[in-house]
Amino acid sequence: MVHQLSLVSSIPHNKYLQTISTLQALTGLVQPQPISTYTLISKPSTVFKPKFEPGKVNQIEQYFMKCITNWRDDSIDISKPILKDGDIVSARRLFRPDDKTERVWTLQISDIPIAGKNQGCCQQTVYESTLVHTHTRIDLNLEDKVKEGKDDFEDFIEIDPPEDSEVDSKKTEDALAEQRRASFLVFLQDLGYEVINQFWIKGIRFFHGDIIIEIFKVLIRDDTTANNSTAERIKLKLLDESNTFQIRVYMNVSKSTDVEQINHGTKELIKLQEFLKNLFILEIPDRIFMDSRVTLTK
Amino acid sequence: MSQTQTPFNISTPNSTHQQVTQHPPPDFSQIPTDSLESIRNRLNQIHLSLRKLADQINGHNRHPNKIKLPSYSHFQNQFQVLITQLTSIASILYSNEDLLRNTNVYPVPNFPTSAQEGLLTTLLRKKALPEVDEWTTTALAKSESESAQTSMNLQKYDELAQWCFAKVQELRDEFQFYGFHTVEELDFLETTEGKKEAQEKKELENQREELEIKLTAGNKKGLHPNQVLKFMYQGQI
Repeated sequence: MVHQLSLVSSIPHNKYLQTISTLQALTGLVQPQPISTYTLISKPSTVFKPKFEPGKVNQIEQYFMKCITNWRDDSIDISKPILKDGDIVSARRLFRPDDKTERVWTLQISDIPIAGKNQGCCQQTVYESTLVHTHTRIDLNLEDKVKEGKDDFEDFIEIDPPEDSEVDSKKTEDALAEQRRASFLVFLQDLGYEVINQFWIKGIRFFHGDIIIEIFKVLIRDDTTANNSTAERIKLKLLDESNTFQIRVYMNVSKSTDVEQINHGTKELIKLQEFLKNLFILEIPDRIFMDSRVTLTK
Repeated sequence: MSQTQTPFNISTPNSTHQQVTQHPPPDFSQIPTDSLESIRNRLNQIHLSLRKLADQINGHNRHPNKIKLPSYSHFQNQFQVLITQLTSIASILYSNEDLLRNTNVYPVPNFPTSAQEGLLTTLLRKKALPEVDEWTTTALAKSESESAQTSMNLQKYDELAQWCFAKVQELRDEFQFYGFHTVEELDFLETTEGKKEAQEKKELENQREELEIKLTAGNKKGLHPNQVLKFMYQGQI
């Protein structure tokens, strides 16, 4: 559990170079750390609606859960704009039969940021748990057969079909292949969560004291043009087509009760905000937009 | 400077004789007491600020660990204050020069001369103290040796500054400033070559604009961070 203090901003693409140079000078970090993460947003599959009983804790909420893993892909140069009719931007499919890499998944649930007037920055508690996921249960012979037989797997995001296929083809191979292909998804399913969306993040990260400065673009799956996604790769497009960079400046405090540290962190963030105000204006994000509770009406 | 404060009578030379013979009540109307009094206040101020500065420095010398030496900017400020105070004293003294030069000071008959003899001699002293004399002579000697080294006195410096200022004014009056181009540049723009260059520049500018439009997908406004956050937290925009 960490208590996160944060501020946000955005810059147009043509200010990228200037911003990077300035931050390099400010932080003294010539080689900023690259960020490339892949995130699945999942939601509890069954609605939990306890009976209202006086005298008991009745404020029970269900939260969206983010599942984050690394996305190793060097084909994207973040300093170049991503154009609609330009080079195809794609990401390797993660859930492929031949993918044997050990993946570290971080499951993250975040509380809605603290309410209140006159706050220096956004304050939010984030809960995380890390899971190392390997596909160890499948033997290799099976996998070869699977490769020949079924190569046109759809991407996992269309998650509805698997159930049908499981019912239809009673072959154990297929079932196993399915499991093999999507074993993390099976795990999620067992956990009671279903994937509702996915996004990729590509960017860079600076460190300034205890403050982390992230500059990134959000990419999503491009379904507008067919056949651009291959069996190996998924075509991506920008979430924000104006090539705008998002900036997030945050600081983690290990305990939400450590008021001294929180005040100190807030002061540091405000100092940075003041210092960078001519480069980009850091704002307090609206807590309503950061609400990751599942509303019961849906 | 009322009579109760100082047991001295001050008068200008032309009225001295009458007062000695008749002992009339002292007449202060001719004396600019306000400005003279302000000299005393100023001197007091200077004394105080010098004392304060000296205390700080001495304190540091005595206990280098406990008391910190004032910062550079503090010294600078203090020095600035001292200069203003000295200038103001100098101007008051200068404007009352005649009066002060021609004034004679003497005790009135009811002053306890024998009891306050020490005070009396101090107050009536006109000659500078020997150490003050020493300061004056060393300062003078120093400035003379410096001016001898540079072989140019202050007056010459002033003259040079005046001349420079006049020359700059004169030179500036010969020019008129409009726009952002020199005459040569404007002439060049009129020629065919110049026109060509301007055209090229404009094209370059257009290209850049086009690229920008392409880059932002037709000047689309970027999503607000809040919208992006919403997507990242809830999977929807």
